[in-house]
Amino acid sequence: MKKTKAALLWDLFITFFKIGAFTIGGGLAMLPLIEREISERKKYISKEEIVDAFAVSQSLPGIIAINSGIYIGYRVAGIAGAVVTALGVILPSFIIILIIAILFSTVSGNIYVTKALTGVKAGVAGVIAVTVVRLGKSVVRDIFALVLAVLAFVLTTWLGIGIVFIIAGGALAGFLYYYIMRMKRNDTD
Amino acid sequence: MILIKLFLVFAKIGLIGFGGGYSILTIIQRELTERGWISLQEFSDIAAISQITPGPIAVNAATYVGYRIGGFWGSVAATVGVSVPSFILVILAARFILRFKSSRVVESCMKGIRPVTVAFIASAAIFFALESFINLQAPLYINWGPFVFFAGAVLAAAFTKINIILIVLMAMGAGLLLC
Repeated sequence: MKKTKAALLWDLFITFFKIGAFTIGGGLAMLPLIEREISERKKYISKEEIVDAFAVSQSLPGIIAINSGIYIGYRVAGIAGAVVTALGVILPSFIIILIIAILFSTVSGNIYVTKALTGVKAGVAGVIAVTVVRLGKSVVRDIFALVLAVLAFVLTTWLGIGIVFIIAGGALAGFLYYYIMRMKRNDTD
Repeated sequence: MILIKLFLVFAKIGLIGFGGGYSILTIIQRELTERGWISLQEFSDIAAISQITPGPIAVNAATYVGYRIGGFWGSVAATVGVSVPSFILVILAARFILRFKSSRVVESCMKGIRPVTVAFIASAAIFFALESFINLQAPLYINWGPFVFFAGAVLAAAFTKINIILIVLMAMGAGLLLC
């Protein structure tokens, strides 16, 4: 049974609203949840396409969670989809922060805030690590892809090379290896 | 007018902010303290609140700053401003990719980009680990409390059906109780 457009948009909105409302630790912490909800559970798009969404989100300026939401929303339901996912991600933050801004004036240096942050970051690191393995399994399929991934990891983690440059490098490497190699192979056949 | 100014400044931040929440926070700090809109002390409050509350860090910061400067409509102007460039750029990129996906050139480029993207996400895990249980000054010294939360989160996410949100909330609770 195919969902009506309105039902699809509502579901996209609610899914991203939940993701926005409950993930602490920022956009990067949302990626595991987006992967699980959108690809694993609801099967709106494949794992490869989730990685495409993350690639676009990280290589463009802007907020990663909003970028991913817009890409996935657009892919699943066009412009209207992009609007509802963006709203879904933004609204919970907006409401919560507005309440906090109205009620409290200062929290930094608060010992409980620091403790909670330490716990959140440890948990987020673990959840992201698992996501890396799951996405890696569906995306890193040959030795060349593995070499690219390791190289990119070293470049971005220890050498601080900009993400945009590494993505451009990955695109070039992919073009040279997968496209040119295939042409050569076809020639010799 | 302050609302238009807020919108434009945050649209600029959305347009030049590469690398997600944490690097956007730095840009917000520069743009706003230079204009004298907020003090450094206020900024560190904003940074702390943005990280401890749900949602994208940069959205949180935009909403908070907007409210401080222009009240409710200020927070609307800042949040919409920071999202508008994303909206245009991502839809253009998505149209391009979806349109040329069957092209062999684009597909081979995407095949190179995908592993690289997974590496970025791995790097994000390292970033969070550094912030909580690894100390770069003394790499052999591991802060064992948060490390146990990390290991617990890995096991829970990999081998159980426990909701990811719940896993992070449990780590937060553990941090409050045990750190």
